[in-house]
Amino acid sequence: MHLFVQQVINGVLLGGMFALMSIGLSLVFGIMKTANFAYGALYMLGGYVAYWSSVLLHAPYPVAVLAAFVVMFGAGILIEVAGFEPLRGNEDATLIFGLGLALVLRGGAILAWGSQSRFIATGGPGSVEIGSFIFPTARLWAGIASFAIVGAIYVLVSRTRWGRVMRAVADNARRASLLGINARVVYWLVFGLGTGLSAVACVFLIPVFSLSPTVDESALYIGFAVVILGGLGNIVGCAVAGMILGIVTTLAYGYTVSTIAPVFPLLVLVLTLVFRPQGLFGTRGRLA
Amino acid sequence: MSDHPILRIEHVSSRFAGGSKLADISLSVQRGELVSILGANGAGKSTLLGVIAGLYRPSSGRILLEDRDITGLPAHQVVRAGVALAPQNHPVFENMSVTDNLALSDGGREEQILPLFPNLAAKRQQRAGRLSGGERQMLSMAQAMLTTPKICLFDEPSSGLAPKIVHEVFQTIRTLVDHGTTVLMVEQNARAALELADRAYVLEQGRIVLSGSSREISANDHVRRAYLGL
Repeated sequence: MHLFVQQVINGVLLGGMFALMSIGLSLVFGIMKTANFAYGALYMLGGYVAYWSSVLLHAPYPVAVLAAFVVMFGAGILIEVAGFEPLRGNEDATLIFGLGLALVLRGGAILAWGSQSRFIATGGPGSVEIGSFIFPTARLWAGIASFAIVGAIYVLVSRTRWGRVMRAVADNARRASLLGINARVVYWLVFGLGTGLSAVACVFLIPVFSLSPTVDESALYIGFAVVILGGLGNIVGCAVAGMILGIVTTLAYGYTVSTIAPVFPLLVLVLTLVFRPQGLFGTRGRLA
Repeated sequence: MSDHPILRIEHVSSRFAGGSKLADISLSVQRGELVSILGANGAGKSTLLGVIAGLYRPSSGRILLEDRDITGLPAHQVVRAGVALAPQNHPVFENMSVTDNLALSDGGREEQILPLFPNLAAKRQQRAGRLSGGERQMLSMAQAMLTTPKICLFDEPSSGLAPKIVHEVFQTIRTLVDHGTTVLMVEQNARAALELADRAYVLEQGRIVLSGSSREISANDHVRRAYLGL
């Protein structure tokens, strides 16, 4: 029983990280209806921004996180303006552009920085004991930070003036423009925010999953799995779906052989697509 | 007619935008007027309003708002310049409350505007998706009014509504005009539109074929036969 509880708590923490990994993808998908297949690569790039500012510029950890967010926020706007915006409405072109960009970024990263795994030193003890449970420090902090960030995004979208504007544009961009809202600029900011958040996610998750040019794949797969399970673009759905996949993954690795464990989260995904293709919280235009 | 109209449209043509074509349209709306555009389905009425509101770009001609050229501005800038369109079929943000819908366009005038829409005041907390058609139309018009427009464009305010509700909507439009709002309205319900409006234009196949005071238009033989069924 004790082991089971420990596994579930580990699963919840992992779930928070999955939710954080997907929140940027979910935001962009929900508001702009753009399936960004370069998401994983941008996530990886954000990690390197933090890594190099920490290693080369000796930036303290919080500054490195902030640098990753700011730089990738800008990069996101650039990619939206130069790439996705001109292609909007043409889904095939959007898909190919995203995949192409991902290949270029990943190849570029391998050429420039090599394919070895890297870590950012955070210091402190390797694990903490809470009661009779033991947690690796990195996982504990990453999990807590994930919940905080996902919660903050939920408040931003559902409770603030800016969130209201985003929801309006998501629902009907043309109607919003007739109320004086510049939908184009909202799209820029949302894409910037989504990309910036992916960078933050990557930085927070480096201590857990490490950093290499190929982390883009797992980020993209997990991102899409969470977004599909949660309901396209819904933030609460994103958190709940992250949690479900996190717990399923942890339990599968804890109680089955590691060769068949990866099947279980995929099974959840397949069952979702069969029985509830709109996702758990999926209704048109609902973000929060 | 004074010679300083709020809205002046000069020789506007549009070939590809919004489905219907427009050919050499000129019209003007004076401050405080209620002007109707009559026409059958596909005559280009909604396209014309869309061109004025910046949703479509005209292929030629000019649109002037109090002597400022607003031709070709994007929709959100046209709104800020002072033209508000309440689109056809009263689209509202269904997943938001009535309050949130209103807050999107609110420039701090809610206390003046909302009393003109008594049905909405009671439903502030409701999700807009649960409103009836008439209430949606009211909400849509209130949203337009809240952008502090110099002129409001109403696209088929009566479409899809029960006769009793249509009457209420037209009453509200009358009240808005009595309070000093300038309105350019497109309507298929010619009889009601002519009763309500000060002046009217008749649009057929993208051209204005007739214009004048509502009384003159109502007396026109062609209009009586084609639009009023007399």
